[in-house]
Amino acid sequence: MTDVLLQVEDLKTHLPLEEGLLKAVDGISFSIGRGQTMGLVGESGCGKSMAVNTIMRLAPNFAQIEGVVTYYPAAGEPIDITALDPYGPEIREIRGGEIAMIFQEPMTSFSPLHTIGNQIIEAIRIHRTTDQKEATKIAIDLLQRVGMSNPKQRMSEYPHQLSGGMRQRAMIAMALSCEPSLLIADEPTTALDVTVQAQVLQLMRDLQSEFGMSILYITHDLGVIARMVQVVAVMYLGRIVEFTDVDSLFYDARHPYTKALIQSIPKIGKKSRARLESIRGAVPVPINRPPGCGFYPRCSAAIDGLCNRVDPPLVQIEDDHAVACFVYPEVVEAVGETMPEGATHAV
Amino acid sequence: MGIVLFMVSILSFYIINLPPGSWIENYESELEASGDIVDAAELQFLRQRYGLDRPLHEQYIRWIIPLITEGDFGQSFEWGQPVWPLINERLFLTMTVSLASIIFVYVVSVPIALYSAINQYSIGDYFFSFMGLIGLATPNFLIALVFMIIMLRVFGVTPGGLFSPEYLRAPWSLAKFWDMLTHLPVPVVVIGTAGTAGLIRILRAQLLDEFQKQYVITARAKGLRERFLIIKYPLRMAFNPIVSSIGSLLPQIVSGSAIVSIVLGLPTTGPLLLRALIAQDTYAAASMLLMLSVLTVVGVFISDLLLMWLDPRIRYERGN
Repeated sequence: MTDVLLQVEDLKTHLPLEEGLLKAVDGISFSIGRGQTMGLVGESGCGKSMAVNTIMRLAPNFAQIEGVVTYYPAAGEPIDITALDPYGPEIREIRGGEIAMIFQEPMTSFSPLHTIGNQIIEAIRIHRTTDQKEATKIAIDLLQRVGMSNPKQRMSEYPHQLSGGMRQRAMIAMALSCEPSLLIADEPTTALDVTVQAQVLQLMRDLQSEFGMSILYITHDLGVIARMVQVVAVMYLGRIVEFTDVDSLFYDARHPYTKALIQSIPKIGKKSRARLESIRGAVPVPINRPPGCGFYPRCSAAIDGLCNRVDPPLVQIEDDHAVACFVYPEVVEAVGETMPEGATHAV
Repeated sequence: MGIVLFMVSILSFYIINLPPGSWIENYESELEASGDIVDAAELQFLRQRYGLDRPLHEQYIRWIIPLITEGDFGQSFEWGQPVWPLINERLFLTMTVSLASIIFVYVVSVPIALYSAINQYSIGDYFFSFMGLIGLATPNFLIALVFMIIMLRVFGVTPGGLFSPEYLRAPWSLAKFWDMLTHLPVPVVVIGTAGTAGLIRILRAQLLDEFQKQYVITARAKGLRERFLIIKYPLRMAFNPIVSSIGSLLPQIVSGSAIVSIVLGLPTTGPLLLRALIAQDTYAAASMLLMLSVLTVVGVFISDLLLMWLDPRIRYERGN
C-alpha cells in the first residue's frame, strides 16, 4: 500500500467498569489505503464498533484509549486523531468532513423530530457551505443520487415517514454530503431486509466508484464482505486475529476462528440433511480476561501450555496475509517461545 | 372537553354532598355551640329556599341549569352572597400565581438539569441533586414559614398576601398590578420549589437517557458542536414528556398551593375552597372545583397543542 489514508497502530480502548476492566479493543493495527475498501468482520461484541467509534473519538468519555490513529489528509500534515480533544474543533473538522459514518439502525440514527432535509443540510453547512440555498441544492442532488424518488418532497419529510431502506439511503446521502475521504459503514445493511440490502450495497458500490472514497465496512455478514471489500481484518475479542485479502479469507483462511466462521456459512448443494456447522461455546465476556489467546476455550486446535499462557501476536506468514495463532511456527517464534512437545502443527 | 367538564361537575357535586348532613346542620350545630337560640322555622325556611330538602339530583339540576343558561353560579350559603363575585378575582389571582410558578419552575430547572446531565457526577451535579432532594422532601408550607421568618428578621417586612394594605381594596390599576408583581416572588418561589426539584430530576434523567441515543452519535459524527447538538437534539426530545405534563402540573400547583396560600395569606381560591368544603357550602365549593377543572382542561388542551407543534410524529399520526 503506497498511499495510506488511515493508519491505526496498536489501538486500545479499555473501559473501566464496575465489574472490572473491559478490554473492548485490545491492541489492533491496520491501515486503509486511499480508495481502498476494507472489511472489519467479527461476532457481536468483538469490539469492531468500539474500534471505529474510537477512531472517530466517539467512544465514551471514561474509556482509556492508547495507541495512535493517524489520518493523512489529501493536503496538509498527517493528523494524530488520538491526540485530539474529543470535543475540539480539529476532530469536528474531520468528523463528517473527512471521515463520515453510516450506522446500523436507520430508524434511530435520525432525530425523529427534525426533517431529513434539515439534518442533511446541517452537515453540509458545517463543512461545505454556509449558504442555505446552496446547501439545499446539494442535499436535493444527493437524495437524487442515492435513488430517492421525489427528492424535493423527501427533504421536508420526517424519518418516520420513510421506509427502512429509504432512511438508510438518506443516511448514506448525509454521510456523503461533505465528500468524505473515508466512509465508515457500521453494519449498514443489518437492519434491512434482504432485497433492500442488495440494493443498498449496490448503491454504495456505485457511489464509491463515483466519489472515489475509501470505505471501511464493519459487519458480521460474510456475504457483505465477499461482495464489497478488498481486504479483511477478522476481529475476535478486541483483537485482529487474521488480516488478508478477500479471496484468501474464503479459500485459504488460516486462523481456526476464521476457518470455523467460513465453515458455518450455509452452503447450497450440500447434503440437505447435514447439520449446519457452528462454533461451539460463546464469545467470552472480555472483562478481566485471563492471558492467552481469546479463542483458546473454543478452539479445536488449541495447544495447551502455550495458547492459554501467551497472547499470540499478529504475524505476517505470507505476503499480505497475517495471522495470530500459535499453530504457525512463525507466530511461536515471534514471541520467542518453543512449540511444546507433541503439539500438532497442522490444523 | 364539554363532556369531561360535565362529568367533573356531576362528580364534584356528588362528592361534596357525600358527608352526612348539609350546610344547614353545620349551621345549626354552630349556633348551638355558641349558645344561640335555634329557630327551627328559620332553618326550615333556609332548607326550602336553597332546595336542600330535595333529592341530590334535583339540587344538581337547580345549580347547573342557571349556570349554563345564565352563567349564574348560585348562592353561597356561608357568605350569603352570589358565588361568582366571590371567586372571580380569586380565580384570576390563583391563575396568576400558578402560571408564574410554572414559569419559575421551567426557567430554573431547565438550565440546572442541562448542567447536571452534561456534567453528570460532578460536584455541581451532586450539589444540585442534594438541594433538589431537600426541596422535594420539605413540605411547601414549611418553606413558606422559613421564608416568612427570614423576610421578617432580615428585611423587616411582613410578607404574605399579594398586595400592600393600601391596594387591598383598591380597584385594579397599573400601580396595583405592579404592587402585585413585587409581592409575587415569595409565593412563587415557595410554591415552585417542589416542582422545580422534581422537574430537575426528571429532566436530568431524560437527558441522560437521550444522550445515549443513536441520533446523538450521528449528530456528533457529522461534526456538530457539542453545545449546539445537545440543545437541538436531546433537549428537544427530553422536552416532550415535560410539555405533556404541563397539563397535570397545573392542578397540582393549584391544589398544592392551598396550604401555602393559607400560611402566606394569599387571596387565592385555595383557602376559600377549603372553607367552603368544611362548611359544606355546596354551590360555592362545586363552582370553584368546576372553574378550576375548566382551567385545567384548557391547560391540558394547550399542552396537547404544544406537543403537536413539537413532535411531528404526533402531528402526522392521522392524515397520512
